[in-house]
Amino acid sequence: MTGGWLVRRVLLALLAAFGVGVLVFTLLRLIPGDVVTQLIGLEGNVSAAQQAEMRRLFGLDQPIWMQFLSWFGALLRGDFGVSLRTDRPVFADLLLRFPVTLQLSAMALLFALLVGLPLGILAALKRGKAADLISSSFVLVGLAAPEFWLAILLILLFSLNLGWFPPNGYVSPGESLIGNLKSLFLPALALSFGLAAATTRIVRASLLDVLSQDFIRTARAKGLSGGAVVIRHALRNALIPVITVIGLQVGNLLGGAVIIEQLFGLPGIGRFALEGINLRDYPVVQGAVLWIAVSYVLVNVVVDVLYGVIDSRVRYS
Amino acid sequence: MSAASQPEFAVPRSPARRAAQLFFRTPSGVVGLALVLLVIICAIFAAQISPYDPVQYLPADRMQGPSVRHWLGTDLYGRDLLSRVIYGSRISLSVSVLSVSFALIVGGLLGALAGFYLKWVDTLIMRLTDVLLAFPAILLAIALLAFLGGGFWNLTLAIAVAFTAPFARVVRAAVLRSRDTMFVEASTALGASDTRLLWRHVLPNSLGPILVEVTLRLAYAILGEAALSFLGLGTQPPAPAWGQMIADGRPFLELNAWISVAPGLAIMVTVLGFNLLGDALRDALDPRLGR
Repeated sequence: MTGGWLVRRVLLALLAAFGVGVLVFTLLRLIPGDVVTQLIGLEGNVSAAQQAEMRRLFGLDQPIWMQFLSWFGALLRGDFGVSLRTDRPVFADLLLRFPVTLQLSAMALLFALLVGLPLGILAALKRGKAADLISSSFVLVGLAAPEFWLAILLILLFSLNLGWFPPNGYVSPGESLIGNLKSLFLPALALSFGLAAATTRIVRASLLDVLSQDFIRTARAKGLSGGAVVIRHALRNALIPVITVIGLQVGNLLGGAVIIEQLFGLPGIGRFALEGINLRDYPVVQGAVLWIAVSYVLVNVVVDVLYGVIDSRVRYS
Repeated sequence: MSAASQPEFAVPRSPARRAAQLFFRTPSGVVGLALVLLVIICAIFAAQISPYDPVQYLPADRMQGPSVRHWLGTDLYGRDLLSRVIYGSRISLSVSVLSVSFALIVGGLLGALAGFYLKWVDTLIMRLTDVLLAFPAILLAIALLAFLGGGFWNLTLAIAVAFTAPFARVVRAAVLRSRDTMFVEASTALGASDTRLLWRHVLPNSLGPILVEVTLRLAYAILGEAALSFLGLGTQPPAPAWGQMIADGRPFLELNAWISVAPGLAIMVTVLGFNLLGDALRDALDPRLGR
């Protein structure tokens, strides 16, 4: 029984990933002109006969479903085509850039948890007090302010005024580990705000809900200290909805990363996609978009599987 | 007996009035409503409220901080930031309202069909939404704009497509809930047609959750529009889009941070308003309180 929902979940994810492929393929065909006209736009004058020969080489004279199959087959072999600008294989660049996006998102998740968990617990325990008010204000601002604007405020304060962190640029961990962490600190902090606010809100609500239940009163009546009740009984039960909400939001870090990478000049997948868009380098756009979408689907599958492990009541039918 | 002296538990009979009464008892909801109204008024009466023309260059007033003459200061070209922020509400609100309406109509129709007919219709539509939900919303919009090109209508369309799937899900869930109620069963027994059932009974009873979703989605749409404009994928300059203004001010943070700070505040206040309004509506319309 445990295997069934997992298999189904993975199959649905694969189906969605296939659909993403179809969608991206369709979008590529919506652009006026084809690969050949785009290349010619770069290369200068090419005769009609040469153009026809190029189309045949690219397989553009084949029926559309054949084109789709060979395109999709190439994707599965890791062949994402070649950048129109740099002539580098797109897949190689994706592998090079993905670790940056991954590290940025992981650091943002860490910051969000470091802020959101304690702040949410504090707000629930000090309900209606000053700490609760401060935490609710943080939640309201964190959910309403655009992350790229918060990023600019952070640059203003920590880079331009205090000089603690670089305002942009990326240092690889191979060059300097400290420099690497410093170059990603502000971007990750900016990216973490929304998730930190969402975490704070759900931790507070979930903990308050659990604290009002009968078994907590029983634990208190047994004579357990306030701290023991909160840690041993309330928190454990409060964490399930928290994991659900964080899981739903984690994938969105990938979307936010696109903007943050652009703003801080970080060489991640998101910036790669935007560079491709600005230069009309469609193989790059296609590769980066597919890569992020498939990572997003994967993250969501992993999160779903984790629920199943953590809470045996959750089984997807 | 006057309304003020009524005991707390006196509940008006109409569900809408009860919800309204609950809503107006929530201070945060009233604040949200006020903020949203403020932004709507700014958008409608931008021409009357703005002290300056938002795209007019005033070379003598370049890069000023806040002053009596320019309350929020001026940008690189001496354009009045307050006027640009006020006019920016027009772009922000019109893009979000149009895109959310489009997503509501298309997504709502798909969701209603899926929830009402179930079987293969449901499977087909839900797998379609799976594909759309396989992207982070902002990335889906970026990808669409990459291929369509920027500008007001493409921007609106991109956000609309990104929001279609969530609406389909919410409407489907709402339809499924009211589908199982006694009065729908009773109408079916009386021989009501599918169309009549859907329009007269199922949809009106699904309005609460849909209204909440619309309000909260408007907040997301405003953030999305700002992000896409920030990336230069939205309306083109000199149109005073808030996201674009933040990007414009980025190189001049040390000279005049207000160029970026002011439009960001406007975005935050607007989104905050819709969030507070949506949360209060959700509480007021909560089905657990009975309807």
